[in-house]
Amino acid sequence: MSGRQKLVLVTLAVLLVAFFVLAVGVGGGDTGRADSRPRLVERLGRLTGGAATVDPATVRAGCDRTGDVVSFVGGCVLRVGKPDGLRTLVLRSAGPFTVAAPAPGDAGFTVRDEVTPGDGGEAVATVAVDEATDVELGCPGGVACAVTIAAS
Amino acid sequence: MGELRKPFLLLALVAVLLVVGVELGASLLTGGGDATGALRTGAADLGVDPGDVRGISEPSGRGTSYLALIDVVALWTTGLFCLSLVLAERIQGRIQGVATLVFSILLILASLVLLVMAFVELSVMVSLFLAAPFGTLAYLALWGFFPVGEASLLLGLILLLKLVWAALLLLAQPRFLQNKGLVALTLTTLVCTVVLEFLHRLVPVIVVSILDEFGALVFAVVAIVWGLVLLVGSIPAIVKAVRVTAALPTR
Repeated sequence: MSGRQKLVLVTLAVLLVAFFVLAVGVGGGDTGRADSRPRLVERLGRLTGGAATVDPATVRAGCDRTGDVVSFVGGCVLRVGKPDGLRTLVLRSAGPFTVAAPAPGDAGFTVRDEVTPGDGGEAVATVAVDEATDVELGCPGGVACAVTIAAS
Repeated sequence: MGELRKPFLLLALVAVLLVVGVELGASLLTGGGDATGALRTGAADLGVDPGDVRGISEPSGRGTSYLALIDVVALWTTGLFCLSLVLAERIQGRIQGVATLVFSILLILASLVLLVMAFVELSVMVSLFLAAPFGTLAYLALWGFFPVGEASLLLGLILLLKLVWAALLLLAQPRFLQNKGLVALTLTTLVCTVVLEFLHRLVPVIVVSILDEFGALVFAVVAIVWGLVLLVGSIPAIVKAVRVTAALPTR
């Protein structure tokens, strides 16, 4: 091995280590805020085209159901059949509604949320499901709600 | 210059074995720490009531483990060099081509399966994270608190072992430097390690799992490319072995 080759190799090794140390150094260890949406993640979202959703046909409703739309006053329980891996149950409605469902994995807690229509005039709830699960829907104000179990 | 220094070659094999071992065991070595408090903070950011939260743990990620897909190629190559120490050149020439062909097919198949798994999980992660607040909280509970520090320590160790492996190979036989494939493989594996560390540090902690998964996806693609290189490279060796066998006098 010539002296020049040795120099190139040593420089390369030093550069790699320097880049690694630089990478460790640039990260400020910022945890970040859950309500922020980094641009990089949004781009990845467009690239991946979204997650696999729960097939509406595998969901049984404890209230009136016409096609993929469930109608209820007060509350309704949706029984989601065991999916093949982690899937998302997408619920859409023109009005506000509440959702309560156990978090997936071994998290061991139930998330409750009231979903309200956004800029598009539609309230959307995305529930992560990785096993047979009961999802409780509620209709605030004692009025009737119509929620669609969406395929995407 | 000409002679192969066996002890260095054997030590290089040990180093690359350690690299693959550490990468495969990465899921056991990192993550698992309690992240319940961090999730409560995240839920507060989102204005959501997570109720009685418990058992939230840090994820281990796929990125470091997926590096092993590339490094098994380095292990395989070093293993073949070592095989020349125990097998006669004639016998090694015959089995090397077929063994590499089988290995490359297995590597490509495994990488394809893992690529699909990583893509599906990445899709789920991203869509959950962007589906605030309900999906975001589920994302946070599963992947939100990546142990960046632990991963850095592990990647630092892996990078060190890879540099040691490369140095030992050169000490064993400086002419390895003329092997363009080996040099390209070494550079690939070293650069991938540094890139993963950059991905871990590029974004806030709550979205590191997403970039770690993206890194895993890229590594699976790189492994498929290397699998194809090995596959194509094994064909001349097989043809040569067949010709040599056919030319042997029959009894």
